[in-house]
Amino acid sequence: MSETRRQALKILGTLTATCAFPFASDELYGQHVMLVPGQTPAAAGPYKPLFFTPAEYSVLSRLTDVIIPETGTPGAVRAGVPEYIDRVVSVNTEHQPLVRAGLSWLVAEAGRRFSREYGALDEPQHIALLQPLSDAIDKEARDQQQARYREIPGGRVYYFAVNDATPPARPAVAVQNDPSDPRMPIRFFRLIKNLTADGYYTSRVGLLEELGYAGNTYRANFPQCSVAEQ
Amino acid sequence: MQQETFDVVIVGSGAGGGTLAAHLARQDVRVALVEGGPRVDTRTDFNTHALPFEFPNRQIPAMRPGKEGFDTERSRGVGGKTMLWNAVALRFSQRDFKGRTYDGAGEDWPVDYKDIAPYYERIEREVGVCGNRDGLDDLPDGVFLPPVPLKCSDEILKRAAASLGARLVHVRKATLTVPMNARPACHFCGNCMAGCDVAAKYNSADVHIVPAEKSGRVTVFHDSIVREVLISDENRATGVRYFHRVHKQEGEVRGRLVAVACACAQSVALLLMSRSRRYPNGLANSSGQLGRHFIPHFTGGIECVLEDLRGKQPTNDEGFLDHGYLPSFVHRNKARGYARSFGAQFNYQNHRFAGWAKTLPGFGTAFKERVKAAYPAILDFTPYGEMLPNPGSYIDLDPDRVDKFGLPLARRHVRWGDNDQKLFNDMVQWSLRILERAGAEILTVPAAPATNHELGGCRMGDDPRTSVVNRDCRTHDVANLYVVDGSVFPSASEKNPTHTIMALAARAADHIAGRMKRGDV
Repeated sequence: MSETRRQALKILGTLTATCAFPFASDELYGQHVMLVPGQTPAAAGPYKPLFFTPAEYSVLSRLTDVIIPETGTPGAVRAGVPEYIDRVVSVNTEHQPLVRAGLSWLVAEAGRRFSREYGALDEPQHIALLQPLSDAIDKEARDQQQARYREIPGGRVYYFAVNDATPPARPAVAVQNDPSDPRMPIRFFRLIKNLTADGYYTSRVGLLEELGYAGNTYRANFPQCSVAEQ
Repeated sequence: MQQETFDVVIVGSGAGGGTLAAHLARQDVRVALVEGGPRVDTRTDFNTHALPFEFPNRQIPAMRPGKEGFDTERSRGVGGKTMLWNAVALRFSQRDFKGRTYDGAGEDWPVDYKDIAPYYERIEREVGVCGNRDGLDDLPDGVFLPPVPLKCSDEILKRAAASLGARLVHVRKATLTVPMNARPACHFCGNCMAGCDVAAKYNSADVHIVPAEKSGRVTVFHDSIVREVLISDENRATGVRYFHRVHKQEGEVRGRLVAVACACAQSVALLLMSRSRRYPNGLANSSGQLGRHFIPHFTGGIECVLEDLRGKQPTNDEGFLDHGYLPSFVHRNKARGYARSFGAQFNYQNHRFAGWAKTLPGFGTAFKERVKAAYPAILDFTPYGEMLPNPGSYIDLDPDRVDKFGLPLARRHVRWGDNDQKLFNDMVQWSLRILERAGAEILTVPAAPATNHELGGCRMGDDPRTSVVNRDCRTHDVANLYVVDGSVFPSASEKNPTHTIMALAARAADHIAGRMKRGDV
């Protein structure tokens, strides 16, 4: 089999061939067929959210596109992220009250600070709303990492103590999602950022177009590295 | 079929059970291989080449639509965990077998490297192990197929490690780099742990079990979940009782000898479930040692970005996952302040998922650019350490909870000891030192040790009061009952265990076949 033919058997094609000969690797490689047609919402008609109301879904969609906007490549909405988040949240009863509270908080903040509908905010206003939340979760993550080190004479070392092995108990769900909890918006933003990033970078757009994933192909040999010599 | 009495009944068809079955069959022993899961075909049944966006929830299931298997720990499939393993195949060294002698803690094995070495070689010759002959005392060389070139990230790490006195080598894997015995060479698609669809990577079904079935001396009872090892009034194992995975019908397989090879926790669980008047606390447990000395490896994965590769064009460098290995080096330092050692694996995640992306700071265009620049440079570096046995680390049966078959769940209890803590902290510290020298930005360090490679529970030893099986994997209590898997390890080494499990199985096969020939069973 020629190298070109082998390349043609890359899995992203639609080959349906399977082969009865055991170990005939070249023929078998490429057996894989896409199980769903990927993300083509246009072809399938508009997605009907399972959990969110139409108003919530519209706020959520705009929010995900602020987190991962359109650049040279599509942003979160065109990558199908809102649909992914709706599917995840629809089966996760812990997420549901937090996401609902967070979205209505966003709408209220838009009104309170800018006297506007959320959908009518401009870019600096979106950033003004989200930046403090983003800074807060980044600081928490940094602090959490720093807490894994101890200062000793002569420097800083990683330190795991046996006595610290039991993680602190998580607050009950009802407490976590209390709308009057001042930390609710921060927790909401962390959840939505995580879901947006996960949804985007596992999408066809995110993984193939944006990141340029190049694996999952047949190659006859593994090349020697040339980059490290630079 | 149920009237037939086999020479040997083996429970479990992974690296231990599959190897044992094939090696017994070659010596004219008639084997029944009893596996709780269905037959699976590595060529067609796994989602080897799927990408996450094919699934609405972005999670890739192990099996293709309509294919069964690998849904519970108790019922995987013919081939067991070798269907989805990463194939690292390292020989243990004399230090690994004699840890107590070397640094005064834990246990020695009752066997030496020289006892196991011929079986390592036999396994390498029949399954194919690639690697480089590095001449290291602590990582013995074997009979290797050609190694695979290191990745760029490996080369960067190699230079960093060398500058700190540690030598990074080519990984050794039971994956073919040249065709062998009608199996093709690896094609570097990077999906080893999603089921190798050409069997270039060793799995016990294709390499050991199916060929042995063709000899007519191995009969596979798949979908047969063993709930009890049967024992006679004369203290002899007589077979196993099972029920069918789907229609639940009960049955028995009879044999002159029984070998339990269901992987660490499930082997312990099966023996604990096999209670009788003679063994009220579990079969072969007169010592009370069954389930104790549970010594899984502990890991501490670090996620980082290599500055030399940041912002580069992504390349197709998944290869067969990890191409390099950092063997133990701290054991040479007698003043390190703890017993045992660690080695490190890295680059064994493929790049279909970028779960780390969400940990990068910010949002918007800057966040998107940050993720894209990090993507070709992301590196997971995971040191593996050896745990010492302690009374707080053991396996038992859950008194309250059962699995979907109504059988009690196996519970793992792990308590970290003082030595574990020292070793864990030092191995993470060394890893950070190497990564900093390699010019890496550290994204995350571990919060606590994580367990991997479950070992122990049916400890091997010469003293029946402190161990479950003897040096031949035979239980001290029952002369025709064997345990052949990772549960017999009296000490774990820091090296991946599967090669040693296979070598022990080949050795146990010689021993059992010898007894059969002598009419000793």
